Amino acid sequence: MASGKAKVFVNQDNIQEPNKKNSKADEEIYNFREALPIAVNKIQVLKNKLANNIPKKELEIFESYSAMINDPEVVEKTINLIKTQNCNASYAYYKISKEFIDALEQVDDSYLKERVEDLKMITKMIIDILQGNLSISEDLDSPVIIVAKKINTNQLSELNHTNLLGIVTAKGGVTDHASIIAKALGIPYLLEVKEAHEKIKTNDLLVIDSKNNCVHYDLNKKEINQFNEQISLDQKLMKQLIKDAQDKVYTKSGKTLDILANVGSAEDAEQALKLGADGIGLLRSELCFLKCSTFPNEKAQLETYSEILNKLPNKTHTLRLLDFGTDKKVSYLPDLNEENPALGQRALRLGFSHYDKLLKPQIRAFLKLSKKYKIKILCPMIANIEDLDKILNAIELEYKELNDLGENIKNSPPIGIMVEVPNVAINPEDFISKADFFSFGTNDLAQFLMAADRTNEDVSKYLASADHSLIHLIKNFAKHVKKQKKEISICGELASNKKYLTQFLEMNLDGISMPPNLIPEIKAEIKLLD
Amino acid sequence: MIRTSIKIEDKIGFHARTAAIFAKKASAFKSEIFVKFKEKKVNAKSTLSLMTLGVKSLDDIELTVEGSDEVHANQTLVDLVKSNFKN
Repeated sequence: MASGKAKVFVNQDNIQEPNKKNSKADEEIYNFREALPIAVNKIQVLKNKLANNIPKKELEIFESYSAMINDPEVVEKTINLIKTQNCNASYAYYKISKEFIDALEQVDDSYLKERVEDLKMITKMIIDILQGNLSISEDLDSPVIIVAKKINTNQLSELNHTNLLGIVTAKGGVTDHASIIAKALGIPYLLEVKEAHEKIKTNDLLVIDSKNNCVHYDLNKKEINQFNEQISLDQKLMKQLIKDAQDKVYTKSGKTLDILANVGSAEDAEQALKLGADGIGLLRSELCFLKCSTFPNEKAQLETYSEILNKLPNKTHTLRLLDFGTDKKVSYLPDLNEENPALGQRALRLGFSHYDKLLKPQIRAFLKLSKKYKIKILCPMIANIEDLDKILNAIELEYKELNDLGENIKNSPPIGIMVEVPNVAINPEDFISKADFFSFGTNDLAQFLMAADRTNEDVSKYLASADHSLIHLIKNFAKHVKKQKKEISICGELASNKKYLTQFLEMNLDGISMPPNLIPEIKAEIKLLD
Repeated sequence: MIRTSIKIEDKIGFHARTAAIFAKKASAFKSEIFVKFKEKKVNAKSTLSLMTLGVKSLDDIELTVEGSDEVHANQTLVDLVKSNFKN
């Protein structure tokens, strides 16, 4: 439940003049200089994307794009304007770029007139970078409910979450990453609300009614107050649940399992701590990468992860190696343009193809963390024994190299695998002796079992029917794992489904990992079970 | 200071690609370099400024180079234009 003012996001193609703000010139000049290489990088990505589809001669235009971005006259004039007016970089850059756009429009030459569109695109791109958005072009400076046709992971992770009361989109699937992140942040997210972005106007008063899965946009004051009372009642109840969730919980007969948190940022970890998580069950390390504009190096990664783990320094945490691909894209990796990205070069497959830049620094950062924190390393998208051997060898090699360099890492942390490819889920025997622990990724496994893309709203409804098969596979896998006295847990949607709690306990699972905000309710539920 | 008049032979003129190549070459020199066309004089190291001149095929431009490496800079840029921006 949430109530608040609507803010409708339109993915605009026209450039709007940024508001002029009083700013510190030094900082703005720094921001401006930082934005230019990011724009050049984006152009490079765009070029690579088109490289196969357009003639080579046409690609030459991209060379001039880079020249336009770094044009000395534009750069110098923008910096001068920032200095003389102490204004924000986006405003200054817009003003200067506009001079050139106007001048080009005056030129009596049809070819050059076409270039005006190119300059406009670049101008919008740089302004978007300066304002810290991708296509969403405004900051959230007051609490709002976002209404959009669709929102992607990048956009969501760029938004100021403290002012985000809720999200309503016309499209989107329950298990796409934007919705998973929203759930993890405890932000009410209502999707597949037909034509929401057209019917709702900015500043309309909205109520997201999560219980009835609908959004009200035409309520009177009295009705809104009723909802607000309900919301505050829910909040009181939640407070009590949180208080009761701080310790490990047991069923009436004394059975237990760890209730862990899925985490993608320090913000999430903070939530996890507050809401009583017994540890981080899944650190989605790739979400740390999504906010960067270049490959984060070992030091940067070490800092990011430390910041997260410091929130709960005494618990045991499971850190997953990066899982890019499908709807999680970054600008500094070439767009592979795959027909079926969920079945393509993702996770470790991608990690190994850029080993020195992606996987190596991450493995090293994880190993270094293991000196200070209790961590386990989780390997995503393992499909066969060769995959497992390859990553085990890589980690072993980095471990030795680090110790040769004098790192003095006493024990390599436990290494486990995600069980999310059917080939693994069906054949536990092949993998159990080699890995130290197992974590069922039920979202990906469900999409592979049902042959239904979880990011495609036309077919994502199929995923709900995978539960029976998932339970069957987990039960069988757990039986084998427990014989070898190893650990098994679940992350993914299924883990937080109360319906299956009793079965999870019967299977002797070691943990279930879920968005932090669901933890208090699940812990309360466990106490009620026999 | 060296001042040279050159005819742009490229069949389109100073468009995005040729301007970018010209500006890039010019940027490699320390000298201050300007291009003058129809009473408008711009920084030759700026692609966008060159584009706003609207120089078409067979137009004459005036190149002004001043600085420690002016001789080399002037020669390089004149050669570039004569070669139809083939580098």
